[in-house]
Amino acid sequence: MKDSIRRVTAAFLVAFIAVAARLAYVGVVRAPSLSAHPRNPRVTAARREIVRGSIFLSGGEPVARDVAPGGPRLYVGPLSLAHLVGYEDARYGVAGLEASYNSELLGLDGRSWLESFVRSVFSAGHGHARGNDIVLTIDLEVQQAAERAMAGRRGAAVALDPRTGAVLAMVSNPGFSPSQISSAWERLVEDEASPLFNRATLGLYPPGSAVKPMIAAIALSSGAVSVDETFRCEGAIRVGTRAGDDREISCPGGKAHGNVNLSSALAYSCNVAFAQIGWRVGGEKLYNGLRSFHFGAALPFDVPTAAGVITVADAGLDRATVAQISIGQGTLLASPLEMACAVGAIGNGGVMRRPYVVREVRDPDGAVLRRTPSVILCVPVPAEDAGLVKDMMVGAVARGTARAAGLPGVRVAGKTGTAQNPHGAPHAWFVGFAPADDPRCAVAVVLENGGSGGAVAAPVAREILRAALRAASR
Amino acid sequence: MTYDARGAARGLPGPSSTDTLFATALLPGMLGVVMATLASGRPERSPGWPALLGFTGIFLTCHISFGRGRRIGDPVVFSVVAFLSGVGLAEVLRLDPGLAARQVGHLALGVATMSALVAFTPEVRVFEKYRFVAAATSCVLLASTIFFGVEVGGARSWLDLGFVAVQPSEAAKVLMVMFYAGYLKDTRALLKRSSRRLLGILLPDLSYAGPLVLMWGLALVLLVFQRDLGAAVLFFGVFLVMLYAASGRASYVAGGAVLLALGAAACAWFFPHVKARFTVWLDPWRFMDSTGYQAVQSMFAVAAGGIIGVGPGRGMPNVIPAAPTDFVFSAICEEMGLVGGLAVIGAYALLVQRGLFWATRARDDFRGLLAAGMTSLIGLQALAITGGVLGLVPLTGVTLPFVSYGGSSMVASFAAVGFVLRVAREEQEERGKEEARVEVEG
Repeated sequence: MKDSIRRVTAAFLVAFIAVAARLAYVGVVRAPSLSAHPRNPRVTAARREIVRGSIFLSGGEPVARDVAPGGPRLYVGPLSLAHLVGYEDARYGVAGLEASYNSELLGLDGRSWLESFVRSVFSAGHGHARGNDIVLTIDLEVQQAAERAMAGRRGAAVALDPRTGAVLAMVSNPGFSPSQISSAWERLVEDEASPLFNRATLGLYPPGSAVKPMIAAIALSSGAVSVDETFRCEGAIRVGTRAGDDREISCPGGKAHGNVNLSSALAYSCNVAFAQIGWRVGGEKLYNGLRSFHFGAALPFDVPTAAGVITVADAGLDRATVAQISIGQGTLLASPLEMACAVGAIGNGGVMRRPYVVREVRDPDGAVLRRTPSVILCVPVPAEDAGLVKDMMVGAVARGTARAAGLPGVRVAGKTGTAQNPHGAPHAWFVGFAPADDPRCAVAVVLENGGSGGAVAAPVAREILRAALRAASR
Repeated sequence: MTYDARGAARGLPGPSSTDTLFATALLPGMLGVVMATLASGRPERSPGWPALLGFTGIFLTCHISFGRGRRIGDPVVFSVVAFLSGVGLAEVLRLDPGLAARQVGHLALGVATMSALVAFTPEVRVFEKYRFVAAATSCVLLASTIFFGVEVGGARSWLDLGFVAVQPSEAAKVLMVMFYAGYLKDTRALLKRSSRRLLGILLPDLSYAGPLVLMWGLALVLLVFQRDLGAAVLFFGVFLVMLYAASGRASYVAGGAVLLALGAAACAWFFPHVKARFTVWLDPWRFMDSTGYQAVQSMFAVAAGGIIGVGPGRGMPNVIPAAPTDFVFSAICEEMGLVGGLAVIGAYALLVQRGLFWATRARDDFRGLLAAGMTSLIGLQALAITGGVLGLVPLTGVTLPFVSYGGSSMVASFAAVGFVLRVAREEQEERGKEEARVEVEG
């Protein structure tokens, strides 16, 4: 009996160790996520006591802060930051960065409990507990310029530094006032213009001709097309394959561009030439090339982003679809943030940086707890092909469709787009970067049903680039 | 040779070390009660002070009257119980100051029961004679709730006596262990010798397997009529452990576990409240607004505690339903942290190790099985509820022995430990006499 009882003892000890291990797992390993869980009553209770952390722009300008412990929250600065910064409301919860950085702002993580305890013991009289602050990469002047240029227009604009991925400005129109979220809620959710919707990260639009720089880069890097080759444009080209399928792609106004090389095709946005370029590359390489530009997948970012769309039929991409995608129509959809990152990659020698907008998290004493590193997200095309496309884009601004984006004394690279869509007038696009040879700012602008990209979107982009270059030279 | 020297020779602690041990065990509880009292709204009017006085008085009296812990049977076990009671009282006081006075009363009753068993029992063997009386009483107690019971928290295990409500199943558990010890001592030899094989598994003769099936049936009856999953698991679980201890046959345990699993599966199939325990265990988050609310709140509380806890009176454990009873361990983890939780688990592990140690020392099978059974009862119950609130095993509504609020379970747990201590004391006294005899003869 002694032996069996000893084995019972051993079994009990193993069971107690298992419970102890589970306790350590729940109490330590899973504790951070459990303690920040929005349904944890401790979070709501803590909020009533705590001074929620502030949100600052890159220059130190506060845009969101607590008036008193437990709120209310005061939002200052450009109204166009509403979607990005978001709101915190007792009734309607959190959105934007207020949501994704909720636990940091409440000070629920970022520092171990023991460390906070030791600090609270040694720094008596600290008053109310404070959450951590976050500092954004948004530049006040660039944001204001974007806000002014976009005023009264439905759409979105994103400006970022392609060398790092830091977002300099982000506007989504129409907007809302985060301070009045509770009083205006009913109206905001019912408004058919969807003012609460962040078009810059979540809006999906056909990019139209704005995708052509990426198509050109893919064509060059795949080796299917060389710089000197010419394509024949007679104003329109038939894309249907079967007899009786008379679908065709045409250039605006049926204008025949004649014999065009890649550079001219891009500068004058020749659809007929790009359809042929797409065919030359082939459906599979085109699809993979776009995927390597991160099209069709959600970008990692500080607020939610929408996954773009590249729909491929089971049978693969047929001739008509390839032609459509090559001019940014059909089944291709992308967000303005995605377009800014993609064009930024062309400006940055073919290297796409992961976009980010939170530069650092600071504790209440101002010490940096976490700094966001700049990381390479993907390398869609080799540097030399990106360089060639960059020169073509400079041509588009110098002599082509994107002339309205030109700035005196600066080589601007750009591409316009006028994207056909089922919701009425075409969406006006502009994507580009400047200075072309050492870009400090890449920009993507979309104006919903705005009409011609060259006439409407390019001037908006110009103002954003101007402000960004001025900020960069500060 | 003095008593103390003999004690030291047998590896027993002398009075100064029992004092230290006892004081060390008592201190965390006292400290916890003081901290919980100071953290309350009006510390000067708090029932914490009389509770502190009562708690300290009860255990100190017991310690002193048993020769400063030396004649208690096993001062380690006694100290562990004092530690757990103190931590439990502190947390119960913190959760609901109105319960503190009653909990001190429960402790007084429990310690009195335990002391009586250690001091006044003529010989533990007398209980062997009454094994069938114990079984019958146990069954009557259980049956009483089936017919006259009132439902509390889904389980029909309470008996309302007008002035006080009791849980007869608590007393029934202890009595049943007494019966198991007697029955297994009788059949031990026969259980070890089995002839038949089924699918390669040794089977006992049917006549001896009968009680196994009977116990299984009893567990199911408990489940079905009382809706008390915890009691069912404990009754059957303790029986299996004792059966293994007596026979050394793992196949019996395996067979019993399969039977239990089958029974539980059948019950889960037929009874939604049993099924809910399992679905919640598998994914509490899906049911966090309904049946999984307790489980999720328990996890939140444990997570809030972190390494050293938020401190008694400073957390929010009151948001967990049934915090002072079933979920007291989660509350302890929140306010006393991983350190407090591990100390409690470690205390049970030590208690189990000591109790089973005395079971191996016992030179009489009844004594050994009794000590093993009573120890396992407390050990299994502690495992079931700590594992349950941590989501390791499905939740069973059992109390945490010595810690949870509740009179019936408190007295039953102290009685169980009383038997263990009594066995330990008898072993020591017998060995002491033998040694004395050897010395005289030598």
